[in-house]
Amino acid sequence: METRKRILELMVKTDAIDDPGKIRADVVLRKQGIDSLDMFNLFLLIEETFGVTIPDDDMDQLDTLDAIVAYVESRS
Amino acid sequence: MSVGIESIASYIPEGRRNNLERLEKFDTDEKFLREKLGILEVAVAGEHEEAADLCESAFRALEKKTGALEENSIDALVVVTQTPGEKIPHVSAILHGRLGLSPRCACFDISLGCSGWVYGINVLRALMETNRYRKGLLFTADPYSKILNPEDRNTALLFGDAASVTLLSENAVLSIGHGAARTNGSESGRLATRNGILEMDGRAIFNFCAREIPADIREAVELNGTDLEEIDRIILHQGSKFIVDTITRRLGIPPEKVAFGIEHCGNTVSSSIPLLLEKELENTAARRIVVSGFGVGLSWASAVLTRISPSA
Repeated sequence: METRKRILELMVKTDAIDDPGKIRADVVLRKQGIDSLDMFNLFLLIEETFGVTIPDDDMDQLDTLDAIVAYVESRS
Repeated sequence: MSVGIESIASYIPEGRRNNLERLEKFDTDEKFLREKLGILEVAVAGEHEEAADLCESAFRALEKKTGALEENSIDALVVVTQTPGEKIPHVSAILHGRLGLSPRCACFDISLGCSGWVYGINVLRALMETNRYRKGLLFTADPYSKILNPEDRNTALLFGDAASVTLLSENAVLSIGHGAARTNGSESGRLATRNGILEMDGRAIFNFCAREIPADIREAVELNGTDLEEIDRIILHQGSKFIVDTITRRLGIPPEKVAFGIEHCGNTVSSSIPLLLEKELENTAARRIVVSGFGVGLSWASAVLTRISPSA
């Protein structure tokens, strides 16, 4: 839950979203108003916050909040 | 002697490619164009308009501001370009011939992209002060329309054509402070031409800008014995609105201090900073200005410019 909460805070920090409560965890983020550049920013903040590296090849699979949380938790 | 910026002029070609007409083609929307790219249309040089032509047009614009510049008065002419048209001779030599300048004028090109103007003012200033040159011209002209793939979403909506000319002299409005110039050649492939066509790794370039530029600006400001609070205006290379906003946010500075203005021309590479600085020359409230260019190489450079006369 802590990882999920922190990632939602990072989403707010990117200015991609105003209200983290509105994010549906299993819906593709691009369909929730988060565009490709927002995702670059989010991945950068995740790398800096959690000390993980997200290779380009992994980006496509990280399209929902659930997927991102699982990925970060498996690598932290 | 000490040399600084006396005047700046620019030229943006008349041709435009409208991004709003390409939304469907590139599967994007107007909100993205306005809020992320900040570019509604990109300037496009004429089919036969090469870097030397763009430079010459910028020079004519400069003469409208300064009056005719006597041919024998120009001691150095430098062109920043990586799209020279024909490779040989250098664009600065072609321009020298067209402007009828003295044989005593030193001319050379600098092969840099978006960091090129900041590198260029430092190189030309150093040359002029070492050799006691009175007047020097720094041109920027990189018509990327000649090397873009019109089907590439990463680049086709971004880059526009323009040229600038900066007159350096002892009769300066802005002094050029200490700066830093950096390179990371191991990442040079992230923004490069392949078979003559520009390709850009958007994510890598974004990460580079976000990670390196705020620290570089802080270092440049410290080198000049000041701090960000004392800076009145910041002119970043206009990569996109997203890049400018991200760097602004990561610097923790008020957005109103940071210039942005590429809605109707696009990212004009090494011309993007002088195009905006040209407007700031008349802004006497802008006493200390940070300029920061970054991109191809990967290379980056920042500098602090200080207004010399309150009446300028």
